Amino acid sequence: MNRLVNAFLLTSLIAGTSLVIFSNHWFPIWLGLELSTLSIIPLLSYTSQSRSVEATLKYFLVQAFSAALLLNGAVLNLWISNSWDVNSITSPISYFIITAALIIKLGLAPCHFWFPDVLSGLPFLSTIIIACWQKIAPMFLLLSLSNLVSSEIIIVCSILSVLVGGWGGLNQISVRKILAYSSIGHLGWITCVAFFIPEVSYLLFLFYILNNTAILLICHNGSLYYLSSLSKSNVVPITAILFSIALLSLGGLPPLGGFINKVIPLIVFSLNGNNFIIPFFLIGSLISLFFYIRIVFNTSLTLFPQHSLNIVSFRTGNSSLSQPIISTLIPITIWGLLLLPIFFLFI
Amino acid sequence: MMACVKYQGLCRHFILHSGVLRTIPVAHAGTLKTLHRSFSSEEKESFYGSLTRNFKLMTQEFVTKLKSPNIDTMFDRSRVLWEYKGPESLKEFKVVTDATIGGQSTAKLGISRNNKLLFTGNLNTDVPKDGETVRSGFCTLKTLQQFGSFNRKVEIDLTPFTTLHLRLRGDGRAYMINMYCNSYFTLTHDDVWSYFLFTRGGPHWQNVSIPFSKFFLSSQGRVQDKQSPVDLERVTSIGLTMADAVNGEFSLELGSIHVTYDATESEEFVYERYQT
Repeated sequence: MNRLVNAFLLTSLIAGTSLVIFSNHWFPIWLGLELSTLSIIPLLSYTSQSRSVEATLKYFLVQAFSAALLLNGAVLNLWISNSWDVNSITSPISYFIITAALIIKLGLAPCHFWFPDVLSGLPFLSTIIIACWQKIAPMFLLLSLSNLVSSEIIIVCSILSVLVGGWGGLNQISVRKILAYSSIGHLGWITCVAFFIPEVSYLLFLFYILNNTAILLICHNGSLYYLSSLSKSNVVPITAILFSIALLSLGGLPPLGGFINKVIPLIVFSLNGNNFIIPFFLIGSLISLFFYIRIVFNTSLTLFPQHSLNIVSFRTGNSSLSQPIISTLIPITIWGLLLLPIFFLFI
Repeated sequence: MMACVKYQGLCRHFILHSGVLRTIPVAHAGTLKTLHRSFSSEEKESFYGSLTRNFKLMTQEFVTKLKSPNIDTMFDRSRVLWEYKGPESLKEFKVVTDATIGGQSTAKLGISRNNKLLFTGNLNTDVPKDGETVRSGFCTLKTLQQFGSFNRKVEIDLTPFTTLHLRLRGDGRAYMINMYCNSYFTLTHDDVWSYFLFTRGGPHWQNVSIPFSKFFLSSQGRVQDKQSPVDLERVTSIGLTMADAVNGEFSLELGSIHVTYDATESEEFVYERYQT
């Protein structure tokens, strides 16, 4: 694609998300969500392959529907409370409609069906935008609304997301679908904490984005689309090691940084007396850990008979941009546990 | 019985044709039998009967998915897609010829003397006189499309594999191997990924291995400018086509079709993909 067009679309994408974050009025928020959706459509479908176009179309339909639902909820709230202000939601019906719209946008269970399908049809660079950047705006909105009305819906959806994210990833052999279900599970953890301490959720969400971006960039560099192709990462040993560490971090194994995403929510739940929901989260987390370890096993603990011309390479390839990004993100996954004391300032 | 037939100066030996050939016409051109429809054309299933059957199927599919059959799939090394096990194996195929567009080719499915699937027929390139058709002459052997609940196409996931293998014995003529995938858009319903299959006419069996990266995209018989690799997640059918534009009889014996994972296959797609 033309670089100017690319730059314009990325700028619109950033502008749309910024508009959502910095607005207090429902109309610019809706505008920002639509702007980011429309900006990303050409970026997703530029390869013009039928699978990419299909994923783009499905993504557009889901996002457009949820944005329309959001506007519907906002207009209903305007009718009832006579205010466009984000924090002036008084009616349970309008809160329910807006929450449902945000749950669809985020891909939380039970509205998660589109997410793995869309991600599996797109190249890895596009999945980074869908799985990381496009979650920022709706997550920000959801966290802002979390303290307004009683949020049993969010807790139920979070528990469902964690369980679906774990169970759904078990049957997958496509790395993109596995990471999609992993994303659903992680968002379940983050949204449940939002109900208790929203500030902690922001930090957990940031940490999740950084971890996920590093893994997707490594997958993009090595074209690691399926479990069977993970053995190719053995050709570059440093990639295999970094990939394994990042995945185990995402799985929440101590002493890696991803353990924060598991231990902080559990502490928050127990301090608020909600011990009954902890077993569900633990079960979902342990199930999802299985498919992370399966990927790690295929990556670093198997060695297929290689062709004699496929010698081990210690150079990581020609991608100039992704290497420094990976190099900065990976230390966060390794040393992120040192940031644990920061979270106790909010608890 | 050996028969030597000359095609434009080439001599092909037909050791497969014999007087004791058993032919069991299983499928005829243009018909499509699905595995889940067991009633005859006279019986019509009631609406509630159909609804109950489909919901039962859907429940079975959901329970199967819940059991996660791929949970122990670390890396699938090989899988047999089809193997000749008896006359009932022929029911998984259908034969389509250009008779559907008014052509003169004929083809049929049978069991050979060596107790394997036999795809025989006569290719005729005479163009039907309808004023529209420009070319004619094809005979296709294709696996039947499987249907799940509510008539949804069942897709075969071949993503763990890299290579398609066929065990066959040909007549020396050139065939095409086709892979059909489920498509989301009506525009891509006719997309077919194909590759050439050159057979040896000798008495020995032939093991053909074709990487999936070598299949090229064509639609309605035209090779597309913008190429893409096979969508291995959504394969619905595999077929063989005889369309080498040479009039005459053909014969192909098929033993098995299976897929394997070859770790030395590192190419994703061998053809140029032009950037626009």
